[in-house]
Amino acid sequence: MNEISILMYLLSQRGSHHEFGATREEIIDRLNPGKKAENFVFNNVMTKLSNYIDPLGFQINYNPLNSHWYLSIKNEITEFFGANPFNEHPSLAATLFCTLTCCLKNRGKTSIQEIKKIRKKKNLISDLKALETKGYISINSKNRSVELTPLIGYQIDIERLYNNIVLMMKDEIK
Amino acid sequence: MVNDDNPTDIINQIEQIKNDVFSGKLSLIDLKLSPIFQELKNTLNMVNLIKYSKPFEGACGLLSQKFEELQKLLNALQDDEIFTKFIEKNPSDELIASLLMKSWTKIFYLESMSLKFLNYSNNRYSQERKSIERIEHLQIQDHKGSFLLNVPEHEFTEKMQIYFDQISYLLPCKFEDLFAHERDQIKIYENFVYILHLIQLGIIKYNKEKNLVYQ
Repeated sequence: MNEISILMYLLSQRGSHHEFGATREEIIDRLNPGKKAENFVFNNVMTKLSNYIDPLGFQINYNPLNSHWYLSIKNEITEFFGANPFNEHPSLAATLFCTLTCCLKNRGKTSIQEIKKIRKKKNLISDLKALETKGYISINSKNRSVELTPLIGYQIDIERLYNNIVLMMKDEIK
Repeated sequence: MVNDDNPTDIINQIEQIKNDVFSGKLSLIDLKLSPIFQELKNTLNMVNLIKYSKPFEGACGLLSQKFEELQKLLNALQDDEIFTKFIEKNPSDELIASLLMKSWTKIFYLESMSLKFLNYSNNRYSQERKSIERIEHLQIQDHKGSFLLNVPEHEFTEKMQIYFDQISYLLPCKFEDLFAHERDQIKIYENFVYILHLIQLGIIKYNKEKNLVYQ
């Protein structure tokens, strides 16, 4: 057993229902590098593992919603095999995007009313319920608020999404 | 200045930068990489080309990482309302869905390969079976010589005739059509026995080539 195999196990483990991988603290705790070297060891081991698994089509990702590092399959491979959960439901994807936009503005939480303002759609509630069933959001029916679950942080690479939107909008300006 | 044929100094310099970046002492954005590339350019020649490939690879790695950090910085400096601005343009659902899918990540997790599952399986399979099969002897009741099996209400020939009357209007037909509406396997088996007997008695005939039953 070496550092890489320990890390591989930690990053591919499943905790609770929507919890995969491990936090930085959990990784450091297992690797136990000593207080002074913990930054160096953490970054070094993560970079090494990332380089090892890259040709296999895997990558290390970070979920900002629950601060977990985890293993994922590269986006281009996911795209190639068409792993698309919204294949026949673009409307659901659009509702999820609007929810994400509202939640990002309000630190991970928003109201149904707020989503309605930007997603002008009649059966918005049924879309939200479908997204809740898929585990991407949780709805509080008492105060009509919506919250993103950690699962969406695993499934959407927000930085990549941001870059794609910026590139698309720049193309439109040109 | 480094020795032209010995790139150890420059390798050490690159390693030191990597270590400082890893430990958080240094940010690549604040660091000028051009002196390293200048040094590589000045010392590189046909003779030491192979020896210098490693430091060149290291320097390119640093440069690529610097570009990534720069991109992140530029993104952070841009208007963080980009998502809202995009929505305000009223994009189609299909366009949003395609953008979302380009950023979709598939988590690498195989339940059947996880240590948790292996532990669970190990515990399940290594457990001793507590329930021991008990052999219970049958209680034999005295029926005073009467036969235990139920005697059918009709004789076999009668039952066969009843069945023939039921299927005669279907004939001629394909063999499997005789069983088309029957779901009960026991009943199918019983009817099959009647058909065999009917064929043997010459009441109905069967053409194997055409798979046809006829009178």
